[in-house]
Order: sequence, then C-alpha cells, then structure tokens
Amino acid sequence: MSTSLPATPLSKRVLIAEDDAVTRTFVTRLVQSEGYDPVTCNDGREAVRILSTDANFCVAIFDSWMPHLEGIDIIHFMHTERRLMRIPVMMISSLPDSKVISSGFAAGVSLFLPKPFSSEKFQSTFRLLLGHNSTLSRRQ
Amino acid sequence: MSLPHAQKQNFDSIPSLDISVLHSFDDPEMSADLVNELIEIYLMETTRLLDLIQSDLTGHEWSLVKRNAHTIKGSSGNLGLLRMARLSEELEYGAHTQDTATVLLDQMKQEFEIVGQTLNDELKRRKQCAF
Repeated sequence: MSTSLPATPLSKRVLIAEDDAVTRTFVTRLVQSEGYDPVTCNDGREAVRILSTDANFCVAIFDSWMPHLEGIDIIHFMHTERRLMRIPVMMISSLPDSKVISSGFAAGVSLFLPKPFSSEKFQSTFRLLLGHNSTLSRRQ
Repeated sequence: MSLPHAQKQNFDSIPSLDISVLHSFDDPEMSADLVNELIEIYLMETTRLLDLIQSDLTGHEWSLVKRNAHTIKGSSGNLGLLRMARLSEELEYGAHTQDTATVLLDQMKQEFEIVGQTLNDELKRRKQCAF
C-alpha cells in the first residue's frame, strides 16, 4: 500500500525563466490565456532564487540558454530537492540538436519546445505537460 | 592600412517577414493588443541588442556577441522576421573573424531598418483599426 500525501489543489502558477523579452512576453500571455498565473524572471539565477523558497508551481518553463545559469542548471538544482522534483519542465530552445535534447531529458526535462513556435504549438505542448503533472499527482 | 573586407553574404532570397506569423497571434483568446506589445518590445530590445553587439565586437567579447545574436535570432523567429533570424544565426555560428562579424552586423542593422519600418507600419495600421 502506498502512503498518499494529503490531497491538495494543484497550483495554477507557472514559473517562466526567459531572458528574451519578446519570447517571455509571448509565453506569459499564452500561459494567461490558458487560465494559469505566470511568475516570470529574466535569467536562471533569478529562477533558482525563486525556487529556493517557493515550490508552488504546476509547471516550469525555461529557456535553454540564459545569462548566469542555463535552463539545464536550474533543473539540476531542482533535482537536489524533493519538493521541486515533481514540477514538470518545458525547455524552450533554439538549439534542439540531439546532444542538447538527450542531455536535457537525462537531466529531467519533460518536454522540449523548439523556437520559433506558434501559439498553437505552445498550447498543445503546455497541455501535454499539464497532463503529465496530473499523472504525477495521481501517483503520489 | 585598411582591413581586408569580408565577403558580404547574400540573404535576399529569404523573405524579410512572414506576416502570417503575426496574424496567427490574432487569437480571440489572447490579449487583443498582444501583437502591438510584442512589436514594441522587439523594436526596443533589438535596438539595444544591436548596440550591445557593436560594443561586444569592439571589445572582442565573442561569447557576448554570440549570446546577443542568439537572443535576436529567437525573438525575430517568433515574430516571423525570417531574414533577421537567419542573419543572427549566421553571426552566432558562422562568424569566425572580426571582419566577417562586422559585415554581418552591418547587414543586420540594414535589415533592422527594413523590418523596423514594416513593423511600425503594422503598428499604425493596427492602432487605426482599433478605433
């Protein structure tokens, strides 16, 4: 028998770390249009600072290449703490070659979204990620 | 003594703008002024980034040249600015000498003048339509 955690409503908050202001704004509006609450930051170091004290996110969306800390560095940090491991991560990247993708998945990326992307492509990837999160919650 | 001139590459076969990308953002579920907001941010940020690349080149800060070119590539691609995205990609990956990078940066600045005019026209058209 598995011990289940108390049922808590899923957070509607989404952490977005992206240094490019255009893409950050685009992703923020798309997340809002899906009915979720974006929390944004401009680089990887700021994302780690937020995650150090706040794990209440249903999804995290990171750019792969940012100043200070890259997307994959944030995921490595997340995997040092159990409260952060459950958050599925979407990595947006202009560099999704096989090496980046394989090291991303090995580190714990749930899904990749290559740049440039359309609103439809983002929405379908985001919904897939939320489905992944629901599955994780049911397992707990 | 003048430096040898790097060959200017021809990117004319690549369309400057795929307008269907901007139109695809006119989704009723999205904020009505999303396109205007993205255009305004793009124009401001790209102006800043091109200035930064110029300084980075002067200071031989190659990693910063590539990073800032990478950022322009991403934002240009997401707005359908195909030629600007391609030029940025070339600066990010293909510029191996100061000369080549300088020529590419000049081409990016010229292209930015073209897309700047196009995007400003689009902004005006959208703002007029809103009234």
